[in-house]
Amino acid sequence: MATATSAIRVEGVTKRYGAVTALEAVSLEVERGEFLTLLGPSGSGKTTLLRVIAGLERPDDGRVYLGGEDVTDVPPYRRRVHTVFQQYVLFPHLNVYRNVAFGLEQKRLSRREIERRVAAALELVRLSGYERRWPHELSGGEQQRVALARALVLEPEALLLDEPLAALDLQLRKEMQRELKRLQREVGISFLLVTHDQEEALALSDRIAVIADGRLQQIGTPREVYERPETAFVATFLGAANVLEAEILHRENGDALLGLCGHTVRVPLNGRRIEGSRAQVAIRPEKIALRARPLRRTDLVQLEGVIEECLYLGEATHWRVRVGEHYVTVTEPNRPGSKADAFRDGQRVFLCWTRESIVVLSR
Amino acid sequence: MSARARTSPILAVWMGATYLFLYAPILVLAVFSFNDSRLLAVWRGFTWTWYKAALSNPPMLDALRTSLLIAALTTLIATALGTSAVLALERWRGRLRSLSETLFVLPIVVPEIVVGFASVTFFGWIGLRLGLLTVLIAHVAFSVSYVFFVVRARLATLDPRLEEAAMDLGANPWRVFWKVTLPLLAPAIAASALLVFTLSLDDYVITSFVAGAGATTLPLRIYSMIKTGITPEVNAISTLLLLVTLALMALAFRIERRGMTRTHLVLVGLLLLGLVGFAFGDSVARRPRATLNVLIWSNYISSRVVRAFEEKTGVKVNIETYDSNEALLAKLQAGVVTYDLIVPSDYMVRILIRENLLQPLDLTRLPNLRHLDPSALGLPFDPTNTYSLPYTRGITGIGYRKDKIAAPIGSWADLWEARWRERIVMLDDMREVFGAALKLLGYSLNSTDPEQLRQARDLLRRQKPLVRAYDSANFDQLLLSGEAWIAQAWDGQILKARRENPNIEFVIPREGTTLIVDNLCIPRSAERPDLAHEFINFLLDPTVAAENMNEIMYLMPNRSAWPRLRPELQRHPIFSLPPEVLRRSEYLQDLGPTTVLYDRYWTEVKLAR
Repeated sequence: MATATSAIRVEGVTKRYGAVTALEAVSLEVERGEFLTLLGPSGSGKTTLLRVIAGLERPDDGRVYLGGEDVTDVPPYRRRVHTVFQQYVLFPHLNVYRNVAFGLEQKRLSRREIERRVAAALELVRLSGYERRWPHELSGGEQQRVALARALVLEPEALLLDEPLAALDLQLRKEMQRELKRLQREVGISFLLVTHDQEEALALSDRIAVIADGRLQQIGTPREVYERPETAFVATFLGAANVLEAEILHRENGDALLGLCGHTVRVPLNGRRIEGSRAQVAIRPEKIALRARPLRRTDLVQLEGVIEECLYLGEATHWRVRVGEHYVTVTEPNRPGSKADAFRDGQRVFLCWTRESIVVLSR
Repeated sequence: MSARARTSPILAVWMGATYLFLYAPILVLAVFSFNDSRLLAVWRGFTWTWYKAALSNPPMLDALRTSLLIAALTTLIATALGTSAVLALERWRGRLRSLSETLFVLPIVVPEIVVGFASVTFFGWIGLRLGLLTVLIAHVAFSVSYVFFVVRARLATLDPRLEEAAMDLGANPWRVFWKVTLPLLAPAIAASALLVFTLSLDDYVITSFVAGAGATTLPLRIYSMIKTGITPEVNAISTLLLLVTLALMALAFRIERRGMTRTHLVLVGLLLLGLVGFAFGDSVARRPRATLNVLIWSNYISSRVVRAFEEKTGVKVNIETYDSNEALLAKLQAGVVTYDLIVPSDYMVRILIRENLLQPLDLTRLPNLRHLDPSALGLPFDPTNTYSLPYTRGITGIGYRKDKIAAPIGSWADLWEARWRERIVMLDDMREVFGAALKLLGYSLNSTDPEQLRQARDLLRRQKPLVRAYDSANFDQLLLSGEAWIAQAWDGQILKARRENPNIEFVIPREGTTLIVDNLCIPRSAERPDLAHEFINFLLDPTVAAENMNEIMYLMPNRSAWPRLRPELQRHPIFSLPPEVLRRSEYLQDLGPTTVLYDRYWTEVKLAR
């Protein structure tokens, strides 16, 4: 990676509040024009990281670079990143025009220049004609757009977005997701978005950084993170996963021979390094098929189990199957001709999946 | 909310009654400022007289000026201090934070009288002379707390992220404060400023302790008028103040609703300019060569006389007023005021001499002394006139309506007449009320004999069911309105009332009564005793004395001036007082320890049914 050109670079940032560690040696980079999402549960430290980048919090350790320049000791009002806050935090005493013009006024630009850029920014977020409105007269979505315009009008190095869609209802959230994506493509600047909503992260991001307990868990494209989670946390937080204990019997040619639920399974490691004699593996519930009797195929892993529970969820059916001492969750879409009705609780079934569906987790 | 709750008629009536309860007194006050009568309670027709009178009454205008000046400065300082305290505490994460917040509550919950006394003691201790500055300090001290709580309440509802957002958008902390924090706090700051302005404008208790020369505020002035009678001038001034306050509030409300526009700025600027101009206008106009500070009962000196002295000498006479001899004593004892001339009553002269608060008069500088009636000199409280000369003499008697009472009046017993039940008014003054009873029993009104006092108490208890009110301030009003037919009364007010209604009569009971002399004295701490002597001599000049008497309607023992008195004063009952009645009359004396017994019996009388 060409670090000199990255929009944001964070190196070994640590932040403590008394005895609580909010961030522990976090390092990451946001490329120019990239849409990166910080995904994590509440209290994971993702908002703290955003505030450290914005300059609203000082890290106890580590450095922050914007456009290659070390800004760790630069106050927030001299950093070329701007934030869209949760619940937007528009200035209630200023109308839409003055809200958007606020940052430009700090730069002491000419009035004509300010007018021109405010108009362009409002146009960009499709709020032309709203100049004289007051924040309290606007809907949630409109306030959101003003907040975006207010930050984008300053043409920042990167835009920081702190759960920007959390306050919107579902319908509007979907719409604003598309809107955000469009905006990002149009202005071409880096977006660093904080969210706890995995779907939002998957839909919007070029890359996702999963964060938990103040530590960066994994960073990669949505597909990478979903398909090849590195840790049990990532596997279960992003989507659902069956995390099973396995014994490492043998390693050769980038594959591992695992003892899993009394069966021996050869699994590709895909370059992942594992140590010791035991490991955890993750299998996505939708990658497992249920069969009444075993298939005659050697390329599949097939385990025998007993159905414990069946949950009909409209678009899909969830099964809970006991395999030895383990429980495995299986999800099947309710397509025409699916077997949702065919199985009964207590029935013996076979779980089938490909070897490639098994992800060996590190840690 | 689409469903509109139906208002029950009972609720509406209740609301109406509540508003009436809140605002009826103010409405009545405003209405009666246009009343064509000195009475506060009976409507006689419309007039602008009281407004004209109030606006051409120099002491009243001076007091108003002082009040507005202090209120404006207090508002400015307290608002700035309180707001900065809020902002400082907000950012302070120290352990003592909650303690410091609690400390701001204290000035609100500590009784004003304690704060007042503490302040005057403190000023005395650090040697700060009482004056405008001390009033200002005291007002700021008690009003900062109100600003603190109003502004803090607003700040608590402010989203701290608004400041972060501003900073994030490139505003440095200074700009954040001016562009975001302050505008968002503005409504609370404006509201607290109004509150402080009002509080400062009408504070009495604390101000009465810490006011010194040149710092008589309007409330002090109004209270001090109680001795000589409150006129609707007070209503007029109050109504004007009310209008100013309402205008300010309307303005503040608009600013809060619509934000600060250019028009508002201009309005506020004009208002401030007007206030400052009014407050300083007088002092800029006249630059006196010296100032003589006089502390006197209100309406107790003619403003024409004062002006004549000022023109003659080029000295500015600063008239301050007080409402009781005890208040005067307290001010002098605090040792932080400098008055050059005071007018204590007889018994207080003795106390002031004993407390070593007076300086001897230089009688050689007072040639006009010769005009004084010898009978008013050498009185028991200062037998050699070393410290005092008589200013006015008064007498307690009975005022009555001869159109309501046909029977001849002439004895204290007439105040015990059952036929006039509920039409009898007694002074609200322990010594005067017991004096009447003791005289009726044939005893001295300075009696310290417990048996005699008990008899007097029983007599007063018997009278109690007949008495409409104990009232020292408005007995003249009550007689004028006909609510009272007969009242124990001081001469001056009754003579003034008689100018309005000739049916009012004043008699001196044959059993004898209280003689009162108010005296001219120079405090030991006076800065200009020379000017004080000059002024005393001026007041003793017969022409000046006559003019003074004709206006204030109290008699002076100035024999050479008597022929120039207006007829009502010439017919003053004091001149026709039979010698045996004079013999039976007395000056009040300090009772020493017996005062406690008086106090107890007075309470018993007041509590009797």
